[in-house]
Amino acid sequence: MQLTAITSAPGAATGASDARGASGASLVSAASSLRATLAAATAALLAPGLVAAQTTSAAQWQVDSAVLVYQEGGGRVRAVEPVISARRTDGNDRTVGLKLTLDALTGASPNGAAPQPTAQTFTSPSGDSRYTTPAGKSPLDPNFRDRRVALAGTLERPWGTAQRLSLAANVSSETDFKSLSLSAGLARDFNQKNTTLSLTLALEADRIEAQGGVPTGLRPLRAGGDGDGGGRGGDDDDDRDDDEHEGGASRTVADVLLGVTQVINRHWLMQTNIGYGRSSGNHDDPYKILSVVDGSTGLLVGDRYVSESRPDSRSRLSVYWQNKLHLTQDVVDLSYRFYRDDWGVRAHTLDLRYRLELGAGLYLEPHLRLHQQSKADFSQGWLVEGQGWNSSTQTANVANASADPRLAAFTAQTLGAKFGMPLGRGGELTARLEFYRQTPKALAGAPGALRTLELTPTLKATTVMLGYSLPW
Amino acid sequence: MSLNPDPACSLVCSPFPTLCRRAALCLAALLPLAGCSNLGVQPWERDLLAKPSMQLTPSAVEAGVDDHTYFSKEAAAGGRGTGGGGCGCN
Repeated sequence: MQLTAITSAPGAATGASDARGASGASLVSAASSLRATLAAATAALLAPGLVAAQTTSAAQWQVDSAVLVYQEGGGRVRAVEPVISARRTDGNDRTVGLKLTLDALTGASPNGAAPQPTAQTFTSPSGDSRYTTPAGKSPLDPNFRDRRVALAGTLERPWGTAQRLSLAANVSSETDFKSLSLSAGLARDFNQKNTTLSLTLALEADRIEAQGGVPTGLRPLRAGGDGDGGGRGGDDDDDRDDDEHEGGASRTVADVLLGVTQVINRHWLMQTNIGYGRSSGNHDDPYKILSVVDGSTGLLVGDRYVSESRPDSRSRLSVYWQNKLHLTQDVVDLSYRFYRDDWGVRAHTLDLRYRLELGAGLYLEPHLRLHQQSKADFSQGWLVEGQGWNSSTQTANVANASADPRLAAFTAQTLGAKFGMPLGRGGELTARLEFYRQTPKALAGAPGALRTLELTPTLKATTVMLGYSLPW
Repeated sequence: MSLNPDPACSLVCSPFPTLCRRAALCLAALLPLAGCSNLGVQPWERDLLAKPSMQLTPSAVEAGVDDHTYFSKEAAAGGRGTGGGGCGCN
């Protein structure tokens, strides 16, 4: 769970959160009523705390709920994710929030092995089942199933004059992964609340307990017994030969986020964040492998499959720039993020939303997102026998290697729209439909048979999300 | 609308060149601060800014779900918040 509540608060405090506690419906309708307009103007002249004290005298809970269904094409991953969140601001402008997220994941996920002109057979990570990939197809592990439960709590309160303190905690649990994170943020207003500076620090501790153990580094997998392929495990001996962390592995993450929110004018709000994060520990995906192929034929050879390996630390830097523009009625949300890390990944992400007001509180919000990333330094589609991997000594000639498509170079586009309609008592119902397409960059230097196969299939996914919000 | 310069502007601007050496990053980071002294509105001009649709994150639930989805499918993450997702999906 991203601790976005921490960073959204300072931005909102610049202007938007003056309405904290006031319902959206009342503010919108205020424009059509002189009495309401005067009330809004009066509220705007007051300090946020006083506004909150007046408008939330009943201290209602604001409940937001949503269900997301994410489905990838070709029978790949399907995620169903219900979320419920509740926030309450009291008369002292103290806000408490709770959020519960559930995740149910099923489907097939790429295991990292390269396609071959013949069928390949793999053993599932748990070792209790096998699956076969048809000739010419990218291997997908069909046993991808997981459930995740995440609970987050936030606490926000004024801290001295013109400052606001935010605290958050998040705990997340899934079958093979546990996570605990804490964060603290401080936001301060300047320039009659036209400028807000915020600083957020976050710490996260993760525990990885993968099925079949957590591998360490590039290690050969036992060959399958059918002579056709092989894979993780074999007929009677599962998984890796040695060097597994049967007790699991761990990772820690520290993040710092520095934000500046600036009111440009009556119609324009801008925010810039600089984020730096460093993680240490195990970063490998325990379910991803690489193929060992002959440099001339492209066919499996030697150890055939090895587990992947990633560096044991990662430093990330992001610069995020967001603009909210209020046109005559409609609102434009335009953001850009530059990202880089010491794994060699560089990414540019542009996000555009246009909220088209349809009247009577109804709105339609088209959404376009464009993403481009370069590959990690160690991202590669396979290991060539005698170059990246030496089967006779079972040693790698590279420090790290991964065929995870998420670390490869690709472009991605999201296109969709959200429809929102107000309900009685300040509630809102939303429905969102989006299409996501990820197009990997072709892999260069494919040997032999691999040249004729589709090595980097396009990922397509559809997202449907229904949301329901109401004061409680 | 012109407002009085605030010393905070110089305090914020000065560390950025050190933090971000690349000119492009600095430009993006400093742009909002370039006119600290003459940007902004008076308190009674916040009617539009106070609308829920003008919040930087209008729906924290939706933003959280989106960040989680992209975190699990792409190498890049972060920007508007901290944390890697609390998820073993990547």
